Amino acid sequence: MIMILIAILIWAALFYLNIRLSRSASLPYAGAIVPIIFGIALLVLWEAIVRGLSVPRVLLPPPSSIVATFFTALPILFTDFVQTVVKGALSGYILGCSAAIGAAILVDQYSFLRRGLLPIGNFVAALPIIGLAPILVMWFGFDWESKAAVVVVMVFFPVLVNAVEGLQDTDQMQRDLIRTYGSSYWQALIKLRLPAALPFIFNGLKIASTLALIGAIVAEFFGSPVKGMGFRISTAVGQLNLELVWAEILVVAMVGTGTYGVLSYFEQRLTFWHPSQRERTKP
Amino acid sequence: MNQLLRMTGSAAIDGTPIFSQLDLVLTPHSWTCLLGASGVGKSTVLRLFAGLAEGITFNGSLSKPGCVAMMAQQDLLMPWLSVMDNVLLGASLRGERADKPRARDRLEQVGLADHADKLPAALSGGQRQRVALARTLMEDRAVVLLDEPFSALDALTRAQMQELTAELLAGRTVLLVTHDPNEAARLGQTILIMTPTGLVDIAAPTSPIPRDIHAADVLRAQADLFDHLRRPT
Ligand SMILES: Nc1ncnc2c1ncn2[C@@H]1O[C@H](COP(=O)(O)OP(=O)(O)O)[C@@H](O)[C@H]1O
Ligand SMILES: [Mg+2]
Repeated sequence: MIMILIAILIWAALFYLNIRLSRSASLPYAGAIVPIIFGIALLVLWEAIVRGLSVPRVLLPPPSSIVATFFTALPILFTDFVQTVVKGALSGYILGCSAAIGAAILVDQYSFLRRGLLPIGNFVAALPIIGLAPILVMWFGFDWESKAAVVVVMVFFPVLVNAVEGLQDTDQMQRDLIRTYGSSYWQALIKLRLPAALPFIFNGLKIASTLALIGAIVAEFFGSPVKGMGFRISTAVGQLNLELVWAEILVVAMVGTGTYGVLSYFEQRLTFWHPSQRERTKP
Repeated sequence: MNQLLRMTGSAAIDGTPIFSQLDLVLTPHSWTCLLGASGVGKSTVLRLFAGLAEGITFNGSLSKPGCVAMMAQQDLLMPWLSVMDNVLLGASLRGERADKPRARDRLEQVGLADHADKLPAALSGGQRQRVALARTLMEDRAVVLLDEPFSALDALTRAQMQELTAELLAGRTVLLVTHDPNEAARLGQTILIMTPTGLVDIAAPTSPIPRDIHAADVLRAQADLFDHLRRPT
């Protein structure tokens, strides 16, 4: 009981500090410090409640033992990371996104493709991954190739739709003007229409990055070699080794946040001129 | 470019007739102003002259002016390019070497030499339109088509832009589409009103352009144009 009381006191103190911090706008890095303190407060509370009320580890392990497991199981986690994230998700993501952008350029130029391909894409996007994954595992085998295939199918359509929309964003007047300059189709595409489409394309890439991670993990539930994050999560649950499951979840969270950060960085660098970015970077 | 530019015929979009029996002649090296109710087909005429016939069915004869420069109501600047790179856009799109000194001269002419490295978003509407003018000048074409280029500007900026444009485009064949009788009276050496039944030629002042806003012949022509535009056809 004492433990919970102390925890609540610490939490309240940190909460108070945070309120003070966010009010005093003069402090540098307040934007980064506030969420970190909030996170620490949350972890303290979690740790204390789990220990204080002696919650069974199977239900919810305390953060300290999750972190301990994270470091002792680092070799396993790294193997799984390479198998699932690098081989499965990343290769599928790169393949699927480049194919989608290439297809978008074709779809944009030939309207019959738009009428033909987009409805099919819609249909594929509506297929549940639960149904798709076992089929693709049968086709491409247990190893990472089938996971990459699932990721390709999942990311292709959102990126395609966004890229097509972006390519058609330039208006008639702009295209007319470009035509009077006597530019070729490809020059206009590279110098005018692709840059104009970038805000839309990044939107698609961000959505796809989340889907890729989910797809690669879930696909492993339907067959995989004895490694990979999805494989580890499903077997660790069976062994009631919940610390390991949480450690894998920690890895997923870090990968997801990192990917989003990298994409946002490039988005900001490449679409600095777009109103949505200007709003964000203004002080 | 001493050959007469002439368009005779009719045009339709998606089977809907836009104009018919039109006979439009552009006098070389002078300004022709085209007025008319909105939707009567002025921009369509302009696009046909520019060779942008996509989607327009044209029946008749049209002496192709070859390469033209165009400027519209919106500045159509690329938001990710600096002012300088926007002026150089044409060369860049054709894959030609960028002639920076000349682009700097053009920016100097429109009074924006100090803004060369800024993004369009950092400029006012009038300044952006001046960049568009510099870009048009950079193309250095004998025929220049202007589609209501000043109509989004405030009155003062508009008067300045009219004078600057007239000065910088002197000697070229210009077709200016406008809905402003005052603008036509100040800049037009030929003034035409486009109606569904054809073109009406209005006597333009004979003094050199840009004419003073208060000049008697400008005010007379302006009043004359107002009467014609308001007359039901
Ligand atoms: N892409 C298009 N599709 C169908 N109709 C069009 C298109 N563009 C213009 N029009 C029609 O053509 C007519 C003339 O248009 P426009 O030349 O832009 O007129 P103005 O410039 O005189 O206002 C209008 O009635 C307009 O509705
Ligand atoms: Mg128009």
